[in-house]
Amino acid sequence: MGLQLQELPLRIRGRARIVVALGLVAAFSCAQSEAAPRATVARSEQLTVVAHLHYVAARGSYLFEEGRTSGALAGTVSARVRITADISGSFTFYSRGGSVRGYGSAKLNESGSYASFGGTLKVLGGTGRYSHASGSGRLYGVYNRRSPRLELTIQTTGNLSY
Amino acid sequence: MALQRASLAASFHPEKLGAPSTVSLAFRISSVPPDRQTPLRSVSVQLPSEMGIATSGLGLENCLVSRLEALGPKGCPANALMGRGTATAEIPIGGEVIAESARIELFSAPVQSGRLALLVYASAESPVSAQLVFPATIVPASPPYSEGIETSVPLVPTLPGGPDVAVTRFQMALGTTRRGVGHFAYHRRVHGRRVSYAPSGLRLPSTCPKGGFPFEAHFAFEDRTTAVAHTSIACPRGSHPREHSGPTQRKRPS
Repeated sequence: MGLQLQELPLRIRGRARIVVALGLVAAFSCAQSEAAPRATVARSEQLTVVAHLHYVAARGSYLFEEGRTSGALAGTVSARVRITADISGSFTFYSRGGSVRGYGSAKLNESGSYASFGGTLKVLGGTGRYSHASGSGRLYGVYNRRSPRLELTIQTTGNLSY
Repeated sequence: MALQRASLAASFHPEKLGAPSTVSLAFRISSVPPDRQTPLRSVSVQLPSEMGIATSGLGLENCLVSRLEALGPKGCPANALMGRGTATAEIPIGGEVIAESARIELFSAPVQSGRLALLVYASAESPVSAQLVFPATIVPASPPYSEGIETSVPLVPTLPGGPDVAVTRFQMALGTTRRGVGHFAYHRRVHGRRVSYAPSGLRLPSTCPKGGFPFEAHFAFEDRTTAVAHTSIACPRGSHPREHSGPTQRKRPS
C-alpha cells in the first residue's frame, strides 16, 4: 500500500483503517478459500473392512499376524493380538496413500477349534492421506486354533474420518 | 476357629523360553492347630503375564457338563482334555482321619459370559465314592499376571452328621506330560487317517520377567477364612530377565 495512514486527515484515517481492516479480512478469507480444498476438506466414511491374517510369530499370549484386507481399505494389515481371558490388540492397515492404525478389544463368543469374538475398535491415527484419521466401530473375528498357521479373520465396520 | 495355611509350587516342562510348555501346579493346605482342616470352597490361581491358555493347542473341542455328569470323561471329546492331576482330601471317620485320593481331569467347556470356561471332573472311590463336576473360568488378572483360573469347590459330605471333605493337597498339569497319569493325546485327521499327537501347551514368553515367572493362589474356606500363597519359577539359565513387559510392534508386512 503506497499511502501511509499517518499522512491522511484524522476522519479519513479512521475510514482508511476500516477499509484496510475489511481488505485484510477479505484477503484472508480469499486466501483461506483458495487453500481450503487442499488443507481442510475432511472426509468421513462408513467403512467395512475384512482382513484375513496368518500367523507370523507368537510370544506368550501375543500373536503377531499379517495379511490382506479387502473393502474400503484394501491392502495389507499387520496386527498384534493378545489373547488371554479377554482379547485385545493393535492393528495397522496399509492402504493406497497411507496407513490407518488403531486398537481393539473384544470378548469371546465361542471357543474350541474356532474361537470367535466380538468387540469394539478405535482408530488412533495414520500416515499419508490418513494422517488425521480418527473413528470407531465394531469388530468381529474368528481365530482358527486348529490350523498350524493360526489363521485369523476379522471384519471391522465403523466410521473413519480423515 | 483353625487357621488355614497354603503353599504353592509350580514348574514348566520343558523350561524353554518362547516354546510351548506344560505347567504343573500344586498346592498344599494345612491347619493350625493340625487336623482342624476346613473344607476348601474356592481357589483362584493366577498365571504369569504373557502366558495365554487360548493361544495354546489345548481345548480344541468342548465338553458339555451334561455329558460329563452322565458319562464321565468318556463322554467328552479327547481334544477337550486340558490336564490331569490328583487331589487328596482328609476325611474324619470314627475319630480317625483318613486320606483319600481323587483323580482330577480338566476339560474345555463352551464360553460362559465371554470367558473361556473349564470343567473340573473329580473322581474318588474309597472310602467315600464321589464323582463331582464343577465349573472353572479363565478370568483377567492384574500385572504381573495375565489371567487366572477361578473355581468354586462344592461341599462333599462324608458320613451323616460328620464334617465335609477337606482338600489338603492338589497337583495337576495344564497340558500333557510325557508319561504317567498326566499323559494324554489329541487326535486329528491327516489324509483321511486319524493321527494321535501331543497337544502343545501354554507358550512361554520369549523373555523372562525379572524375578522369574510369578504365580499366586487365593483360597477361601467354608469357615470364611482365606489364605494366599505365592511362588515363582526362576528364569532358565542363560536367559536375560526383562525390565518391561510386552513385545514391541512389528514392522509393516511386505
